[in-house]
Amino acid sequence: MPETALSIEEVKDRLRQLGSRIGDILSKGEVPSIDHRRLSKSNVRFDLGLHTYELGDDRAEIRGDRKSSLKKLTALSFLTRVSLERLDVGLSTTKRDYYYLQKSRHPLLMPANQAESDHVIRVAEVVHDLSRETFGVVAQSKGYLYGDITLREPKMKVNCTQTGGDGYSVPGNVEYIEIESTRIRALIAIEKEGIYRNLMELGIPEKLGIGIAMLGGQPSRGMRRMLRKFSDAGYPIGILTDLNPYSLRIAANIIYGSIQSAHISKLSAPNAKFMGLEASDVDEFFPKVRRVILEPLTEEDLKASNDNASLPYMQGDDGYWLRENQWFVDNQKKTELEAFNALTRHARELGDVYVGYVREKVKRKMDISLPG
Amino acid sequence: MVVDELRLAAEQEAQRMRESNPAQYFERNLHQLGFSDPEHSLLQTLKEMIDNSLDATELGDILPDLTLEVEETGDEITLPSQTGRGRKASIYRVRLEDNGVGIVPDKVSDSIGKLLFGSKLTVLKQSRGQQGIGISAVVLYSQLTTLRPTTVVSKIAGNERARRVVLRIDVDKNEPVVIEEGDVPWQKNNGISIELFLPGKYSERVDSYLRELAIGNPHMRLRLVKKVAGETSETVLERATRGIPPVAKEIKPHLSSVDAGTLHRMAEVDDDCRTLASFLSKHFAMISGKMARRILQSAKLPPNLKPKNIKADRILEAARNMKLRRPKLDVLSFIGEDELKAALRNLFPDAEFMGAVSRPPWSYQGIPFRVEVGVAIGGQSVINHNGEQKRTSVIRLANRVPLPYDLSDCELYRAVSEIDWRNYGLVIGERGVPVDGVIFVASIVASRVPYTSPGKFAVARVSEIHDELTLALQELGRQMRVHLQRKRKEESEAKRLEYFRGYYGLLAEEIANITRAEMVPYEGTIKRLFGGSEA
Repeated sequence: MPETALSIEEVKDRLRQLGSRIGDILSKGEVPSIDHRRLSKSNVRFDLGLHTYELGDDRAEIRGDRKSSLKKLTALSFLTRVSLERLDVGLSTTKRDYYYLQKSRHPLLMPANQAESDHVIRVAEVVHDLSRETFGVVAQSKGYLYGDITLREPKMKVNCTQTGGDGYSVPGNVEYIEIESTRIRALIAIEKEGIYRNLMELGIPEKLGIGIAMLGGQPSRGMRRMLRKFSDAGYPIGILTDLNPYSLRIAANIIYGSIQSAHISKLSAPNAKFMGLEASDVDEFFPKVRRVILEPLTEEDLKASNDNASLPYMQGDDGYWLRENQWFVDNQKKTELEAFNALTRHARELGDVYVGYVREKVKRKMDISLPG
Repeated sequence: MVVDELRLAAEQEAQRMRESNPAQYFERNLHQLGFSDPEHSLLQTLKEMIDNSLDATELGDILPDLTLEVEETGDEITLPSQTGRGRKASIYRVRLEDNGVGIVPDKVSDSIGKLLFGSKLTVLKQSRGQQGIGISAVVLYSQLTTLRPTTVVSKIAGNERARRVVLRIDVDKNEPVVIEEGDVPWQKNNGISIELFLPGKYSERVDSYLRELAIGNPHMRLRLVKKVAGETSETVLERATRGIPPVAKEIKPHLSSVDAGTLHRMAEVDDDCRTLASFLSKHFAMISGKMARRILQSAKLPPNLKPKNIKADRILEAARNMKLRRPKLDVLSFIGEDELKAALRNLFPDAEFMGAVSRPPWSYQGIPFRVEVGVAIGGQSVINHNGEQKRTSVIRLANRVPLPYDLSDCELYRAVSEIDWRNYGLVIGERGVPVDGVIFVASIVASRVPYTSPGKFAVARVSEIHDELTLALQELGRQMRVHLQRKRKEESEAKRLEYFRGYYGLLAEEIANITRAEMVPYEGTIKRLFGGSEA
């Protein structure tokens, strides 16, 4: 995939290619067939060099001489047409929207469930070699961005400190948003809303010259794409999560991408760094409150930890991830970002706690000395 | 049974035969003989008349050409009923005209106006009539119920004029009473016309009886002129083949087919044979003089015993242990596979498939028989025939005559319904009835058909017959399977084509939408996928 984003016109051209290609085949009286990278878990591999999930070399074929395949081909053409139409009038589409569109198109195209129409969208991504956001099929928006960052949207410029509310709400489709200018030295992606809002309230982004992003659990596709854009623009990315097996997955999702979206390469930020909370933080930053902040590990947590152990990325980074993951099994404990509150006797102390931790970790993980 | 009882039974039977004349006997036993209610009676009358005509054409190797007139006269009579209250019934005029050999003029009144017991003791022969009551019984019934005489016109080949006789029967004397007799001009070369009146009720059964008769007799042409409930209609059942079926041959009975009483009576009435050994070899099939002596030896009877002193049960038991050879089998008048299919095709011209299997002849209890089965599948005419089908549709024929009653007791029906037709590709719905329109034909011809009981229209379960029917039906099933599998394949191929056309239509539409160009044709692609033979 090209590094620079395609313009809308270029995207439309690519969508139209499918039409002319099949049109040619039909007018010659031949049977259409479309070859694409195979979308299956067994064809997803983890590139240890690039530190990212990607599709392997297996190919799949949509064939016009097979019943089920022909339905897929027809649905793919329908989705392509719908996308062109909606790009023309500036409408975005959700997966659910498309499910209803396909349901109502023709009885022959009736999907058995939304999983079937979702699959058509994934197929369209590999066939067109475009992420679905580029052709208007947009994921739910989730997450905020705050800091002295000026973004250029198709219709306006916006500074992320001037949006009011909780900051700039990252939309589902960020494809056509560019980073105009910033006064930040790094961007820190934070799992939870509480600490993100405290940082805002305390003016810490301004004080340290950083940007902060609120993920709200697993990051949305828009947020992941946005982080990649910052990464591509040369901004160091740090990740701050709870200390539990699920949070490891949030970090990994940002850094390495996911199996589910292995066919979309620009959804991961391989240079992003996991800042914490990490296992060693418990002793290093919370020694006096260690006993009160640790919560017992649940059955589900333990299972997640066991499942994590076999994931490909776990095997890299000189065993760092495996060690982090094993800590949960060994200690049967976990804790959360909210633990920072346990270090304070008075509200005025919280700012220093945060600043101390962030400055230390940014220095250590990204080799950046923040002011203050 | 002990010998004395058997003797008594046989003697009583013989006594009864001597004392009561057939006309009296018939008069007393109307109900048993098929004349129970108006609907039954009309059908039985038509059956006896047609049987008579088919026999008459067979005698002359003639292709039967029959005209049947059934007319509701508008008159009514009251019939006695079991409850004591009379039932009203319409009087019908029935006339059947054939092109058979006819009756010589001077014998017309005797042939029609005198009842005979049909069952002969000394010979066996495939015949249409079940009771052997014949046309005279119908004349008698007509007269007993309506008091009207019967009109007969008969002409034999070579005669200038036909003999016309109007007659009734004197029941006590069992003799014809001629009311009018004279010669009349008739355009026909030969044949008979019989016209009589009877209380009846015309139902669907008559129509289906005639259709089924046409299946048993593909060489027959029947014109039906019907005037019922004020409506006149004429239908012709054309002949399906022009081949005259083989003539049934008389055979001697086989020792394994007679019961002790009959054997006893045969010996009793025999006047020619001086010894039991010569009696056996003269009257029974597959019994040589040597075999007769062996049987008598085994029965511990002297070979020179007088026939009148026969020990019937001992002889029959000895014969059973002797393993007698099967009778000669090629004595039957059967339909034939091609003829059966032609007859089905004739009646069900739009049927999708016709099959027939004619088994080689075989025997049960020393009696030759032969089973034939056929099937017609699909088409509106088959569906119409079946109507509101609650059972598997089986046309049953015994000695080429339809069996209109007693379906579920009949081996011909049971053999068909006991087969799991799903194994042969039929789709079976509720109550085990095939979903596709299907009509089976099950036919037996035999020198004597084993009915479940006298007066019943059901073939009894006899293991040899059951086995032959099953073999025939299985063979028929294999024919059906080949057809049904091809049909299902064609259906699914047609469905696939329709399916692909649907998708390619949509695909071409979407492609045109994407490229904003004219819709591209996709017929070439369909052709490539399905070959040139489609469309």
